[in-house]
Amino acid sequence: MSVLTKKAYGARGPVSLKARLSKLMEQGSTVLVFLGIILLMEVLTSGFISLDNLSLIVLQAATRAILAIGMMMVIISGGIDISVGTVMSLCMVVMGIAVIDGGLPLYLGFVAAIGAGVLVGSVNGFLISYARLPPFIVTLGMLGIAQGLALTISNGRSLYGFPETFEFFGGGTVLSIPVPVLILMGFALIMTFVFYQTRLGRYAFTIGGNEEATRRAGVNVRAYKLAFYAVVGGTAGLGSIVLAARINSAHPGIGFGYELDAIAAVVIGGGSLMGGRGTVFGAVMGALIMSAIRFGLNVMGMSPFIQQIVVGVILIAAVYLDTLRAARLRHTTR
Amino acid sequence: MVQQNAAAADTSAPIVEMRGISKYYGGIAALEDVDFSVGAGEVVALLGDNGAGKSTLIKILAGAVIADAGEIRVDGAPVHINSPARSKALGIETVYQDLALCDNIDVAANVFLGRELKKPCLGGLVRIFDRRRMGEETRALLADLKINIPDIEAKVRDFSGGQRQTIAIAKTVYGAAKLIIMDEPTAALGVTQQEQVLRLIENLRERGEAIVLISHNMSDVMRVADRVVILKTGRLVTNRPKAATDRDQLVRMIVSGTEEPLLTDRQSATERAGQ
Repeated sequence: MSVLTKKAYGARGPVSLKARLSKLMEQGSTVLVFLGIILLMEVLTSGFISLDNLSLIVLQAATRAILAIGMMMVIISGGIDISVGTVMSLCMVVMGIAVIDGGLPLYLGFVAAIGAGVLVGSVNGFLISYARLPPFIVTLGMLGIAQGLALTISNGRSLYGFPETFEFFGGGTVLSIPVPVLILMGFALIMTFVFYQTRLGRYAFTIGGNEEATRRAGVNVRAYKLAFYAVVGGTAGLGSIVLAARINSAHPGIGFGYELDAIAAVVIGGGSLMGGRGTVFGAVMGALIMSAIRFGLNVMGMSPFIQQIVVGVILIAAVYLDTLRAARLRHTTR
Repeated sequence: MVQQNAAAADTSAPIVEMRGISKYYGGIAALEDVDFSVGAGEVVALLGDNGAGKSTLIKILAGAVIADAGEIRVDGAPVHINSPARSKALGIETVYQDLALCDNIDVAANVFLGRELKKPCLGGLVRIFDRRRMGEETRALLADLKINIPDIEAKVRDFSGGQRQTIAIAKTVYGAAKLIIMDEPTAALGVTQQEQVLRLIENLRERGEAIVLISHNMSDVMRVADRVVILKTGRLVTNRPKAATDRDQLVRMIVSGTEEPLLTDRQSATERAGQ
């Protein structure tokens, strides 16, 4: 086509500085919030800032951040998955049974955990994209199903007795960086690549932005939607490995509640529940913020019961801010 | 065979030709025995009141509706358009309002939506988006069509309605469309923005694209159309060159559904002078 012939068109159009600046501000603001929380905790409980405490916050954030990155994929595409917490429990129990009861090597246990997550996620995705059920209802149902399955196949017991090498994945360090943090960094890098260099990531954005336009462009929207939920499921499997390694055991009830943190982390990190917006960096920062808050409340001696209330309030407040932001965006459009 | 060769040799042969098209919903005819054709470098305005059958005719071309009777030829060859994908494959593209673009990605990404270019990276280990080439080709495309979009790395949300419409149309041109159907392309746009879109339609005609324009705006029609086709309750009212009619006559025919005699240039000029 004549259109494709190369001509000397100026190197690059003027990139709007304002857009770049506002993007930087948005990303920078999560860092500021994180630092603000740390400083607040230092003021409230003197001696809060220490290398031990900070590395504990980051370690605890690892599982949440992994879940939040996966959650971001469905949220960007305009969906949601509230089953990730209990699916993580199910994956953990599957791995525990495979390795501890079944005597399988550790790496096969990892495959089993991630495989179970992908399988459950694919069921979610199938029901949402092919049976056209609302994501909230499907994953609410799956939240119960996964919890029930985890308790059933484990007989409600905790599983102990992983091989000694397993501890390395939770407590080991490489070049003095904790292994869970390394796993998170690797996963964040891979997912950044997926979001910006692959069709899977690109179509998560375009489906969240304008599903009909994406369909009319010839994209198999249903297949991609299924894949997004499979990815979140696999993410729950990866999260279960890191969490189980940190406590060196598997518990069927441990994951419930992590979905709240993951969703809150995505929204705090600049993701929008209306779809079409979010960054990996934001999701990681959001998870760090949630961890800092939980850790700080612990240090201040606040009961876990109250912590639940705090996390719920934060989630609602973050979503409220997101709706304000969306309204502002609509106003500035056109 | 002989006929086909003759058609191919004839440069004025229509790109798309529909003959005797009928479509019934229950006992009611949405279209009855309608002929319709568009040639290369021709803008045909498809007019009619609501329920006249314009949408049904367009949907048949787009593959969303299948005709009950009649024949469709593309480049002289008979075709069966039984799905939207088939229509696209034949080079027929429809620009729908607000359904064409994703607001949250940039201009180049929209032009290449669903057909992203990739290049090998890390010695062929992985394949990544070829943003540079997509950007270059988008700039070349926009320059070819004389569309002024200063920053193709900006998100589509940041542009005016008129610019968005021109981007949506440009996207179909890159898709190597033979026939571009535009459904109310200037509705809900400001005056300057309408001007951008109309100028683009004129540029496309010069490039030899075949265009179907559905519009309720008679001044748009009188400005860019070469030919006008009017439907009323599923029947063809008239099919004539724009030069053989004027704005008031078009409105009368759309409302009454009865064909009026062709106007010569002089007649329409005196009519206009008389007003």
